[in-house]
Amino acid sequence: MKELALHILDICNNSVDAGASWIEITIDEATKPDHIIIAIGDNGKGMDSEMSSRVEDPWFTTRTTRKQGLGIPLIKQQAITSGGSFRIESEPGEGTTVLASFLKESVDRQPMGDLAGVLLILSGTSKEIRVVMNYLTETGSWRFDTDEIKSVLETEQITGNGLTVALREMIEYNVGELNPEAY
Amino acid sequence: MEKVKSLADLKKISESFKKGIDLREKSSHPDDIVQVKVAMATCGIASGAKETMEYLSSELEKRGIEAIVTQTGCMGYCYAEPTIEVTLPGQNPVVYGEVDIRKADEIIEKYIKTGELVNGIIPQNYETID
Repeated sequence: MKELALHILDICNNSVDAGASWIEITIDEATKPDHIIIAIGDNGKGMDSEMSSRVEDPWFTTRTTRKQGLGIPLIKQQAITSGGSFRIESEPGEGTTVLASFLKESVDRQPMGDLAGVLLILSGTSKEIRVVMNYLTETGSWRFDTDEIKSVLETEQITGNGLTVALREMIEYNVGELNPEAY
Repeated sequence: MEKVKSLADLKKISESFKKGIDLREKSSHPDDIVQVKVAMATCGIASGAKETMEYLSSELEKRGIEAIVTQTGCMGYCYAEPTIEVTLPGQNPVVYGEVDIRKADEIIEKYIKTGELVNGIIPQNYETID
């Protein structure tokens, strides 16, 4: 995986598998100088402390189609090699939050990549899942919320080329205003 | 056209793409339209499934094919990612492996449009005769 955005997509798919109806992605470049903190929280079924510690093991997975589970180990590896940190907070029945921080200037820090594309794929995944993203930098913040989009457009589903193109434009413009390097 | 910068801008131009949404909401009868599932677990994402999915959903609409493109988990063919499962109306699903943009184009033009099978089916028990 070559972009932070792809890791975000991968981790969010864990939330989908955990039965979440709400996924909130926070990309925070404001709180800690020189760091990008990515937090992905959900209201899925959560994990007990034993499972939380085992998901960082590449040989642990809940699925039966294959024996490996690399999503969490890969993002953790990227965070650590770039000089950042990694943590999972989870409570059974409450949900899970995955926190990864990356040192911005590290040569090993992957680029953000196509965040808009990832948000659009997640938004189209299911009518029942609300996807929220907060992008914070020192100059300001921007929020993407599928519920707001659905209510403005009076639609139940985020789909179709026309809407996808318009939303991509909106995301790239707003994220680009906050961090010109992201787009 | 002005750039879409806010929800208000989105609302303003929404008439132009309402038709696309209405079309998709027909998916309450999913048996009548082409269904494409793109495997998007870690293995798929790392191999470019995101680009494959974006290509398929935009191209199928551009080429006027009623289809619903969704993402699914790992089908266990990690060695052949990106994999997609295509179900034509009334037929059994077919899984294709190593679907990059070129392969996706071939699948749309041959399999989805005409029903002609193309190489790359998983498990590998099919080969076209030249």
